[in-house]
This record gives sequence, C-alpha cells and structure tokens, in this order.
Amino acid sequence: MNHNQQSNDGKHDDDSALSDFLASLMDYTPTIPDELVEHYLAKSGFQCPDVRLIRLVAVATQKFVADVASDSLQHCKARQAAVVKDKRDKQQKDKRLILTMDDLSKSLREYGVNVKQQEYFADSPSTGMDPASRDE
Amino acid sequence: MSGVETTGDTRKGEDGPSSSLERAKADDFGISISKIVVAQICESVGYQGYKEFALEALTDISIWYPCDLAKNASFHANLDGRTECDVLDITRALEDLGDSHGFPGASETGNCLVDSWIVKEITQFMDTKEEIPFAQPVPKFPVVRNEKLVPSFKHMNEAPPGKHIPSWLPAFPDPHTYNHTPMWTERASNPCADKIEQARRQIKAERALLRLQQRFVLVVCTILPKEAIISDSIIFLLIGDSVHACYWMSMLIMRG
Repeated sequence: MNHNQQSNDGKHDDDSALSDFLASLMDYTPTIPDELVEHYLAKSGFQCPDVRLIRLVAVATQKFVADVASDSLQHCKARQAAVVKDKRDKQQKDKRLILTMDDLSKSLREYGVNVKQQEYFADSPSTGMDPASRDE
Repeated sequence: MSGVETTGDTRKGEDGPSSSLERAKADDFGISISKIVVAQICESVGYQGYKEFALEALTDISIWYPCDLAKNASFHANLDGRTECDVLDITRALEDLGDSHGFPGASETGNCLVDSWIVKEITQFMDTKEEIPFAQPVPKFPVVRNEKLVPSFKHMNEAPPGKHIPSWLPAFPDPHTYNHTPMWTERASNPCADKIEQARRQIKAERALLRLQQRFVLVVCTILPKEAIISDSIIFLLIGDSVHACYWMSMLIMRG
C-alpha cells in the first residue's frame, strides 16, 4: 500500500514537472522561428500538432548552436591570448573576435562532427617537391 | 545585424555577378533564414565578425541537427507503436544525440526521462540566456497551392470510351480540343476586284474561242477541197443559216 502510494506520488511529481517544463517552453521565445523548425520537422517525418514540442526542438537546436559557438569562441580567445603573450611590444592587431573554420572545426570535433577543410590545393602531384626528386 | 561584420574570404568581389547566375535551390529560403539565426546566436555569444565559409558550415549544422532530432524522435515513437511524437520521444532523441559528447546519467537505465540531465540543461539555458527573437517576421512556408483536379468520368457522368478504363480516372479532354478541322479562310469582299476578275475570265474565254475558230479555218482552208466548201455554203443558204453561209464563203475567198 505504502509502495503504491509512493509510486503514485512519484508519478504525480513527474507529471507536474513535465507540465511545468512544457509551460516554461511557451514563455521563452527562441531565436529560431517556429515556422522554420516546423518546415524542417515536416521534411523529416516528425508529426506533432503541439506547438510546445516544436518550441522544445527550437530551444534544443539553439542551445546546441550556442554551445558550439561559445566553444569556438574559447578557442579563438585562447589563440589570441597565445599570440599576445609572444608579442607584447608590438601593437595588438586583431582584437576583434571572428568566427573562423579552424576554431569551428575544433569545437565541432568534440561533438562528433568532422568539418575538415583542405589546407591548400595543388596544381599537380609534384607541386612543392624538390627539383631533384621531381626529375625522378 | 548591427554589430557583426562579415569578412568574406575571397568571394566578396565575385559574389555579385556569380550569385545572379546561380540557379535557385529548393531550400534557399530556409537556408537564408537559418543563416540569419546562426549569425544572431553568434553575436549573442560574443562574436564580432565571421568568415563566410564558417557561417555556412554552422548553418548546415543548425539545419542538420533538428532534422536528425526529428528522425530520431519519430523512430522512438514508431517503436512504441505511435505515429505522433511526444515530449519523451524528443527527450530520448536528445539523449541519443548527446551520447557522443557525454552527459551525467547516460549509463543509468530505468530513470524517468523527465529527470534527464538534458531537460535540466535546457531549463537552465532558458533561465540564464536572454531571449533574442528573430529579426524579421517569417511567413508560413512552403506555400501550399490548391490544385485544380481534372474531374473523373463518374463526376462528369460520362462513360469511359473503353472497358479497360475505370470510371474513377480523370476524364478525357473534349474531342474538339484535339481533332483537326479545316480552317475557314474568310476573305474580305472586294466588288471592284471581283468585277475585274470576271471580265478577265470572259476575255480569256473569248480569246480561246477565237483561236479555236482560227485553227478550224486553217484546217478547212488547207485540207478541204473547193467544191466541198462551195456545196457546204449552198446548203447553209438553203436552210436559212446565213451566218454559217457567210462564214464558209469567206473561207472560200481566203482560199483563193
């Protein structure tokens, strides 16, 4: 009897936590518009008429992008701090924080996404080789 | 966006003419909106500028993430025998996507999903981060057009032309739309031109008759003997045909 009551109480708590969570979703306006999220969800076979779930997906996506962006910002700041350490006398050139592929690929690698760009493109297989070895 | 500048790598100068020649892709509208969203998020995080390629890569990620989430959530719903997803399916999908990064409680089983770390993180995110609504109002897309359907044979109360054609199929178009009929060339009436044409035809006919008579005279003059011509002319005189009598006598004179 007690165990049943406890489990019932637990269920009520869970239900109320869930409804509170869903209600809080409606109070928050995500940056990603609902129409955009609905379009991509419909494309992927997601069926749900509830607006709160679309908000949940929007907030989750915004959180993910914000996490990736903030991680790459940390990489950018670390890189700039390392440069400043070496050249204290010279005037600091680039204080502006710019989103680059290097920082982005480093932060995305932690999330399991491989975004790697070629470092350079060569005209032929022997470009950049020593003339002696090229003759061979 | 006010504070963020773009430093397009080498494509700044080339963007103008080449972008107008590029074909519009199917999802251009969604991609452009996602680009603005990602730029706004980057600005909120603290960035002051971005490289074009980096922003495009992050935009692709921001599109891929909800699509993957949706596929995962619908998979979990289908596993449960449902077609509509609910909040627990999405939470389960979020946990699956967060597996690579790792989160507290990932290895535990039998926990209620409401207590999931993911839900707590999202709640914390909403509480701490300030709201940044999207810069422009977005209409509902893609726009669905009401298509005009061709009515079926049953709808038109027509019998299909062949037994092999079921009556619920769209009806054939009317025969006059595909049968070839000769065109009536309506000419504007011109009475003056018509009269001239008529007179011309009359002259032509009279000329032809004259030529025929001349040929006939030639034949008679050269072949027929004199006596025959004389006797013919006398016969015409006797029967009272003066016209033909004169005609034959003139031939005699020509003959000499």
